[in-house]
Amino acid sequence: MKKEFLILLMCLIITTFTACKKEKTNQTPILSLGGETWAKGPLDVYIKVNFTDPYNIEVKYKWDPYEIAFNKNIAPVKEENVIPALDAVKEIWMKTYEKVAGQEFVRKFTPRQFVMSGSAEYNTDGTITLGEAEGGKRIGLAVINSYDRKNLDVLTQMLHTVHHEFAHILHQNKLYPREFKQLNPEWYTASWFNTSTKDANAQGLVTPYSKAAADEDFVETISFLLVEGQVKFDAIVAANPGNAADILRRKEKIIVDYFQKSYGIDFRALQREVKAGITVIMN
Amino acid sequence: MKKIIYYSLILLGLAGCKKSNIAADQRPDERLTDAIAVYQKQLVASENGWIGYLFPKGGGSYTFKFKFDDKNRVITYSDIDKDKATTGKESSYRIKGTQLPALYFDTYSYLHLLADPDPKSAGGAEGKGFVSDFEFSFLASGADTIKLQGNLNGSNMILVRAKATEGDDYIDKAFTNNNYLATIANFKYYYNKLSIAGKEYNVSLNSDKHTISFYYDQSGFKSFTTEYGITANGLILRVPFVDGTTVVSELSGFNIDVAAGTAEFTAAGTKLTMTNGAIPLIIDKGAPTRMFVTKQHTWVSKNGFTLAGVKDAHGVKSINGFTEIQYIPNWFNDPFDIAWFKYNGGNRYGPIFNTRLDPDGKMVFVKSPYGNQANPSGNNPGAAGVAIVNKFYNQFTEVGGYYAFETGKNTFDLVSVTDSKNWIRFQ
Repeated sequence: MKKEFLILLMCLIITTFTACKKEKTNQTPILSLGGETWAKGPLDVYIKVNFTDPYNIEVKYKWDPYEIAFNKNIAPVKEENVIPALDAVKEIWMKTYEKVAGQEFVRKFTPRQFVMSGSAEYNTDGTITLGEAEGGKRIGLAVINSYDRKNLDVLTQMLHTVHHEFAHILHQNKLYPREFKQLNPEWYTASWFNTSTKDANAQGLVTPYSKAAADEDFVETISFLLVEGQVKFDAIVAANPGNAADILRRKEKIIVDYFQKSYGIDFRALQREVKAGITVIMN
Repeated sequence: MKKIIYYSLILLGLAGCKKSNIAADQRPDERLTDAIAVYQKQLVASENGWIGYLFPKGGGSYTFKFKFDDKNRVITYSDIDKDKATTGKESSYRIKGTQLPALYFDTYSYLHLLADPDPKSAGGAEGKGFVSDFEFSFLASGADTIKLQGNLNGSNMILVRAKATEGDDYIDKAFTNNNYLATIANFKYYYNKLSIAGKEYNVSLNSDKHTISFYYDQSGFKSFTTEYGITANGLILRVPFVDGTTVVSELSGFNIDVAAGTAEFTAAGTKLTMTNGAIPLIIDKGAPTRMFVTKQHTWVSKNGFTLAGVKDAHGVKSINGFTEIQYIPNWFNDPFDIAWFKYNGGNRYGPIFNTRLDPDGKMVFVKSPYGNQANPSGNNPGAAGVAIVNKFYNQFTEVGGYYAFETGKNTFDLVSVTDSKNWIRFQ
């Protein structure tokens, strides 16, 4: 009996040791987790000081195929264009909201990541993608290699994308009035790219892409009113009298009210700031 | 009985111990991290940098020089043009652990011009550029060479450790050397004959796309084409040319005499002389069909005709804003073809013709009106321009026709049958 008890005890001890050993093989964490690292240069410092530290925004300017359409031919950015383009984003977008709505507002709602690429994304249907946003988290800034602060078209196109995507974040937090969706539901279509700007305007939409969905229509109209500006918006209204003009004006009013009621933002003041920002960057 | 149970328990315990020992071996993430560190060290360690021979998926070859430092910066030289061969450009790189360790040239430099989908950047095709890469997986590495393959398009690049003699002016020397090789196109006739070990070959050198072709008779027409990497004093064949015991992998020490129509060089330790002549050794009867029917392609000529060694003899480049001639089979309803002259930002003007493929391997272009279309049709480039287009049209529709020779991926040379002094290169 005693002998058997001893053996049993030994077994127990051995089992315990085995168990101990298993616990001791606690693994070192998997290597190279925690993001990529590289020697920091002036661009990294600029981004840290202007975006990451104050707003907790990551700006990816180095090529990373998994952040964009990895199966397409896209060029990485020219380093010399990174800071000028980001300056414009700061001046014409972040600063404008900061002035009108305060720094806390910007910190709370800005997307957490910008991903820059040098060229556009060429799609098989013949369209090109100039920018993209995902889930309010990330904004893609494309065609950075063609950036030219003196070129209003280039500047407008880039900032239009940024304001467009940011407006998505705003309506994802507080939805716009249902009334907006009822204004011209008959025009929303997946093949929006078959419509010219002129035709879209005549249907009461600011751009062809507005036709993609009510959400897109809402943010396109906001972005147009801010970046392209009130003057151009008024011109579209004037050129398309009747029903289209009426719809456009009602959209404008819904947007101005939405900004005031949902976020306490004076939309007209925001328009003025964006216009001033464009002037600063272009001169 | 009980004892057996106890002993088996002990054995089980031991077996458990062994299992935990396996975990002490290197894990995949450790090996990957080590591999990245080794590659990183190897790239930086080469004092004079690396010579890169790039073979884009889209065809051709380019020679680069890369100097990597330990701060993720790289200085690049390239033989794309004179400026890029002489002035280095600094950009960024990193080695990333993807499925295979991969070398990313992660901000824009000369390498990216070839992969840029925007035609305005370097003139490649919209959406794909010249079908190249700037993001490569390490396939193999030795002390002095690293083999890379593009992750997106599968282009190949070979990095060779630069010697002390291959300094920052190396790419400029290579560029100059390629221009020197290009003077072979100034020989009077198209055909060049080379004798190796008692056997004769016709050799074509395409210095634009960096390809070399051998044509010879071996119970019928045989051909071999490969890209070459340009060096400071010669060229290296991407794939060596092998015919029986003859192996040609590198040509060096060129001495070209345009007036005499000879080019001397050394291959595999043997001095060889290539001589220019009016008569082809053998013709490629299948080439016209491959060019016209098999490959659905817009054929582009940047220089028009070479006549008796004079490049662009008709002066097509003098047309205002000229970019290229596009020969497009079946542009109109079959069988009407066109050769558009593209000029002055998107304008085009060009003659209409039919292409006839003769069974004896000739390709004949026949002047042909199409319906009530003006011929040439399109936007008139002015009297001087029209005169040039008509000169081209007359030469192109020569009744004798042309022999075709395939000099690379989507590259054909058309050589006049009646007079081999006249030829044009399409790619």
